[in-house]
Amino acid sequence: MTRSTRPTCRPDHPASRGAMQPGFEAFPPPERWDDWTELDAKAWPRREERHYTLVPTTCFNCESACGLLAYVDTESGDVRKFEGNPVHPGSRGRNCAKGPATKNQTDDPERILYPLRRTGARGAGGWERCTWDEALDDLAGRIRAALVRGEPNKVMYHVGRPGEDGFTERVLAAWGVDGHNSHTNICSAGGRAGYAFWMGYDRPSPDYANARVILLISAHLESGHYFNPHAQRIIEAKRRGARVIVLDPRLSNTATHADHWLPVWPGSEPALLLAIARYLIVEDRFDREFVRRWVNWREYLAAELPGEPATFERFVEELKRLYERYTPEYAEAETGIPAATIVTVAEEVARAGSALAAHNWRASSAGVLGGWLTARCLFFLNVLTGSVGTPGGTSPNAWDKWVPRPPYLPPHPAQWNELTWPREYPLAFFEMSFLLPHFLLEGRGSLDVYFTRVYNPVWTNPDGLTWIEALRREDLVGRHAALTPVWSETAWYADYVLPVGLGGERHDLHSYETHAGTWIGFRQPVTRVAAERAGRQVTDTRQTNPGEVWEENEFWIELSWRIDPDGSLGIRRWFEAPDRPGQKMTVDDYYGWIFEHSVPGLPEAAAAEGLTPLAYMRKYGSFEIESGVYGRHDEPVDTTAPGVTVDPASGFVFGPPPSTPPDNIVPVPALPRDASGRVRLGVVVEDEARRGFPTPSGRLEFYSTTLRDWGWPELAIPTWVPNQVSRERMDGPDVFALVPTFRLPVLIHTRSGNAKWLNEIAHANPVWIHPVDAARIGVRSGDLVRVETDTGHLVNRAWVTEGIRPGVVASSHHMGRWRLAEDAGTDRWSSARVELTEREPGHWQMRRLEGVTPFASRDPDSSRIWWRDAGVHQNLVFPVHPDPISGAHAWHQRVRVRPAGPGDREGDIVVDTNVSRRIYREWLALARPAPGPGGLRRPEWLLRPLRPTPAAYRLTDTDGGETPAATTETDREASQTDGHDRPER
Amino acid sequence: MEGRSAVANFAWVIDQTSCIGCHACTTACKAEHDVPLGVNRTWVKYVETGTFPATRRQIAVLRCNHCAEPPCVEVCPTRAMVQRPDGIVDFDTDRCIGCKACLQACPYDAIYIDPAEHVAEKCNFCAHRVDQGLLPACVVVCPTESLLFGDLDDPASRVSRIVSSRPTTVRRPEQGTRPKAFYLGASDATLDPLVPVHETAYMWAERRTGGAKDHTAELAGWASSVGEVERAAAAATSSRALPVLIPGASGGPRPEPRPAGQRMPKARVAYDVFHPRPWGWKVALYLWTKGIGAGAFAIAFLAAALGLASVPRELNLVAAFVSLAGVGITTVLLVWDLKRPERFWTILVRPQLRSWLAIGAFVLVGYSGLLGLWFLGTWVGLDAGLLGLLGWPTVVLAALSALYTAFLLGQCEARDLWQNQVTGIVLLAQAAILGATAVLAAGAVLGAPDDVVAIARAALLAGAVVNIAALVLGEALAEHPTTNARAAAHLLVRGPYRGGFWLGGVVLAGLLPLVVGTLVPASSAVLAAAGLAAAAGLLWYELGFIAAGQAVPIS
Repeated sequence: MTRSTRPTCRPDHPASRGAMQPGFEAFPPPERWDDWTELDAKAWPRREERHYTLVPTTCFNCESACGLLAYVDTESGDVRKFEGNPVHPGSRGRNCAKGPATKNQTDDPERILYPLRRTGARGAGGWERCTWDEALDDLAGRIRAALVRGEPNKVMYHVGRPGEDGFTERVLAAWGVDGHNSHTNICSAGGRAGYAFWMGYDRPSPDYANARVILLISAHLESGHYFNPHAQRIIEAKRRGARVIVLDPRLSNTATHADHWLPVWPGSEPALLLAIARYLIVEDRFDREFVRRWVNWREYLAAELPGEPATFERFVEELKRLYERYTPEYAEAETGIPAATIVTVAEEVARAGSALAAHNWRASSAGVLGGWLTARCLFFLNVLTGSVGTPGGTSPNAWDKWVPRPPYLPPHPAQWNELTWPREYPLAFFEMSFLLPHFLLEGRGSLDVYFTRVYNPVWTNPDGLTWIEALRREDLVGRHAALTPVWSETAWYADYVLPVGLGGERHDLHSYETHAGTWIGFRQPVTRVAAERAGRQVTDTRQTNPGEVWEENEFWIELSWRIDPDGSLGIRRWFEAPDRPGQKMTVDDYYGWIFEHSVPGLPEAAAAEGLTPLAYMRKYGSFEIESGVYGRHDEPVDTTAPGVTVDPASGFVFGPPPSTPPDNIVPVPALPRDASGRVRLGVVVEDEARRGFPTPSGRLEFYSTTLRDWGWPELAIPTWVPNQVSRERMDGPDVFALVPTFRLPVLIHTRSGNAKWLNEIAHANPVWIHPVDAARIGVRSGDLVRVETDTGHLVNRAWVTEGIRPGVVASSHHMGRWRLAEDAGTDRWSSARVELTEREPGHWQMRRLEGVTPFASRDPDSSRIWWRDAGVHQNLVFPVHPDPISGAHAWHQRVRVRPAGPGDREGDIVVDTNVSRRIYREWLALARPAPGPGGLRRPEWLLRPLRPTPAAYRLTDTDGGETPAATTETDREASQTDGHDRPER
Repeated sequence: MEGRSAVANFAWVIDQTSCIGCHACTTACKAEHDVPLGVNRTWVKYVETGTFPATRRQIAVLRCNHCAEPPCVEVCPTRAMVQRPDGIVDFDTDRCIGCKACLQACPYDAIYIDPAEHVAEKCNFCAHRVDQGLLPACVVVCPTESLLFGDLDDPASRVSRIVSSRPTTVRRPEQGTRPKAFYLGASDATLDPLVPVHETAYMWAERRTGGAKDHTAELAGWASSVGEVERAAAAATSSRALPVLIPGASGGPRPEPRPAGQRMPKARVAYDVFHPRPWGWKVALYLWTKGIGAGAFAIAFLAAALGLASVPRELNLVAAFVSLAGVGITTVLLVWDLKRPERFWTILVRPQLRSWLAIGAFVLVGYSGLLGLWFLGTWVGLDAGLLGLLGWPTVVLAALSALYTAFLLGQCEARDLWQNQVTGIVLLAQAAILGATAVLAAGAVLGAPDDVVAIARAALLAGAVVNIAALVLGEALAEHPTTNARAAAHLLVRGPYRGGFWLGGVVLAGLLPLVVGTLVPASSAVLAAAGLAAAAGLLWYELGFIAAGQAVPIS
């Protein structure tokens, strides 16, 4: 690691400083951002000057958090456009299509500008404008009542993409509720579990730019996390000669750039990866030194081969025996990839050495039962090639992420929430969020206040009609407040629709593992910053945002004050200004404190420019803390420091807990302390103390004692299990494996529905089908097909393509937005108007009344909408498929595809939620519930957002659902000093 | 700067070896220029090639090429399209009259009519930024540095280094425009619009019909370079000299040969944007009314002036009136077809004299002026000698009126069908047929002398013979010089427009008057009827000719 020596503005765009064409710059120089004059493109060739102040912010579309630079017109106060922020270390001035389209979202004539309150029955579509005060008072009153009653878990916050680090978890912790819920289980849970059982950290951070071989599962050049930052670096490496291997049953824009496109049967990826692993092992092409030092092979031998010599050579022998069966021919039979190709690819991987950058995002890890094994087997290749934490290799995400410590760290919640962390899923990553409506409907609990925050579970989650069945029940969900910039299918079933800001209308702070370094990015309300630059005093972001659009930071602070107006509940104190006790914290207080105290190098960089740290961040919008971060696990630990001891039995190094929490509170697993309360600092490797990995063994866990001890001994080492779409389950001429999860480069779930430029490009999700399959079932491109799942069917068009594996069909998850009203409910740029009827309990039918149609608005473009297709919603016809270990929803479906019948119309959706309930119970039965060893609900070391107190982890016989365990002062103290034990997002 | 010429020569390099098809350039451009829905200054095209599993998606970013010899500048009648000394082909929307000639001239589909301003717009290299020392918006946004902008004449620029050291291609070099968008690693499947098929829809978007991409199933694969599609597909998988390792190609089982019903076209368009046909029925009708306007007067005048017949004054007046009406309606149609008709007059005060649209406007104005004088002179009984003196330049302008459109169509570089030299002959033959018909019809009503009928019949027959010969030999049987022309001629002669070509152009406007004129002892009424049928056939033909020229994809 090197600390950045020049923490001032670094124009990092490849065309900057005349690099592309002498005399030309990519961006206005930062020293002129305050007052920038540019010629008006519209008036051209007349030379009309426009004056702007350029304010950096962060894109709020996908999770990449790329930098943006807003051009705020100093005369009109309007945002003219969003370009990239050249100073941003992740995106380096560049963006994908969604960055510039932030302008569409900001200007959308249909956006919700004022808080709305439901009138009439929930979901009936009656709305009236209300004030923020009314909404705040109502919600605060209900939350306070729940807290005072001792039912903190009746409050739940359900987030889609957080787009920020730590702010909201801090709020929930301050309230003392274990009420964090996320979308993780329909997205990254499988991938996380696969990585976490290896190294404790639950995500990879590939160092693409320096890789020799890049191995990708799914489509990282068009989607995936950190799409634009990663695509830049993948292409950089490719330009320098790196080889790219892509596993994907579908030809993506990534696959088309691959040296090897391996269109594996969906869900069979582990078989192929294990065949590569076998090649490395059997051919002795693996990094013996790395494996010997860093893999927990001794534990494997001790447990599985007791009495045999505990030598590495014996382990290698055993490895060869264990993986002998994963021959190329075996993998060919499972994956459909020719054995010879597998050998070729394995040889490429072998040649990569320690520069193998690999990533798995979604794909089968979010697709099938046991999908987490895809990530587990993929990282096995990193381990075997010794490419863990190396230049060009793959690091743990937490090394490349900086979450600065906020002014106060409230204590851990003192009770466990069984609605999000049910005992059936003790190893889940994380909350079993997509099962929430099932839990509510079968009587496991109820909610007093339910926040959905930039989240659209009715549409985005599987089995959305069950969500509607639960959300419309006021006895199960007392108040539903949707914090959202736009209408969504879920907001329709809310009691309050509370408009929150887009990328240029809010404060957030975040940091992502885009490359081997750490940085923070600062999202800002750009018109507020522009007003402040012009000398206006702004005390509330609503003063400068459109309408009464607010930001969540101020909303949560205000709400918390109203929950505890006199401070008697002990909540208010977490929302008081650090230097003005008793006064309400402002966003400047919060971020100013963080930038002064928790970001190394920032105060110095700011001082060098004569700025405060906050002013520096307002000017530049991002800061690079470290670059060239590698090999953290191998850093030595000083065993001679006071209080540091080595436990001879385990080899662990323990030391006194730090007196202050670290500056970086990025979530890492919580490691057990020793008997005298000292924290684990490292592990002895080859007689030297090293930091190691945050796993039970301190090493990389080829052999997971956690899986073994929590009921899954057969899956303790990397392996593969068949799943719901395995090839042998395809038992009819019209039976297919459906891959319903792929993203398109220009859209982002339901968030981009009001970006007209993006929807103009992409607005249909036809069913991809191979020509041989299409001929067999008798459809041609453009024909209507009926796709039947276990719970219902949908009618969509076929797209016949050579870009899909025969036997597999695929359809992008983006499209199929729908609305129940003429002019509200969902963005009209992207939605069809439908009729939704429940003919008898659980028997639902959706019929399209009208596709996307032009409409009159203050944007003349709304009358120029030329497309009619809105695509067809798939998720409604998917039952829930919770993986019993990772808790991930297994998205892939075994479907029948046939030509549409005479009564079928495009966009038809038919679902029987009675069947979805049955399938839910079938998958639930696969689980192996807690308690695990020690009577715990969950292994304590595993990551968990908003980690409760240790006491809450214990499952007692008397546990019903809620455990209002008392908080001890010790817990509070511990939580405040243990910075490593922060909530994960 | 050493080695740098005083004036720059700006160009694009578009690197398709690294372009990931993310469409960031598309939206960055929309943001920078506030481009409305439905039109694009830059867009991304995807074409799928190959057979599973050796399938590839070819990607290309398409936009204005800033040609060294820009046909849009040459055809623009009002100097709205201009080529700057630094090579930027820029435009001035204040000057544009919306004639759409530039859309027909651009072989790259780069120009569109802005739906708000109703003027022609396109990529202008972000001239407003370039003049300020900033790179174009699309270059700045591109995540993978695949869009390069720079001065070709500056050896220090990245574009000149690439163009001089690596093999690049350009779109449609046969058009002779010397395009300055140089593609690195692009596939013919994307750059040659005649290679792939557009199916009913794209992979994530609707395909609008009624434009230039409706008939690709008939035309795809016409390009001589089909074989290159697969070579490019293979090359795109690896930019280095390493063996191409495509699954299935290296020892694995190859897919079985498939029955015909399951076979896919060699290249399929997976994503593209819509391009309309800029000219419609008004332009076809304009060609027709212009033929009447040129022919009626010319036949009446020439019959008398050459001493072949004595034309009664009434017939002269009627012929001149019909011509005036024809030219008048022609002018109305022309102005009506403009997107900014209120700016029509600027052609005359600010003409761009290389544009045949501007020249044609002067011809039409001059012709109608002289014709009006001739009409008035005839009306007031001006001296025959003087009328003759006035008539000769008028008839020259009449011929030019008929003919100039051939030169205008010749400037429509995008429409190779229209550049056929036979077009001028067809236009003259049509003027003869239409003029003769007018004279015959007038004669039938007014009772024309036999010698006048004979001359008109001769003109009708001559027109018919020339028309048949021109259509059959010049279009149907001719070797067309480019694939675009071959494709358009195919659509016209054997494709969806064949009715207008054969029944309208050849039978009604050729064989019918020929048979009636030679075999039937024809009265002027019968001949007039045959002429009217021929006129109807001609209009049918023109509609097909104008549509077919624009029905071949050029992007």
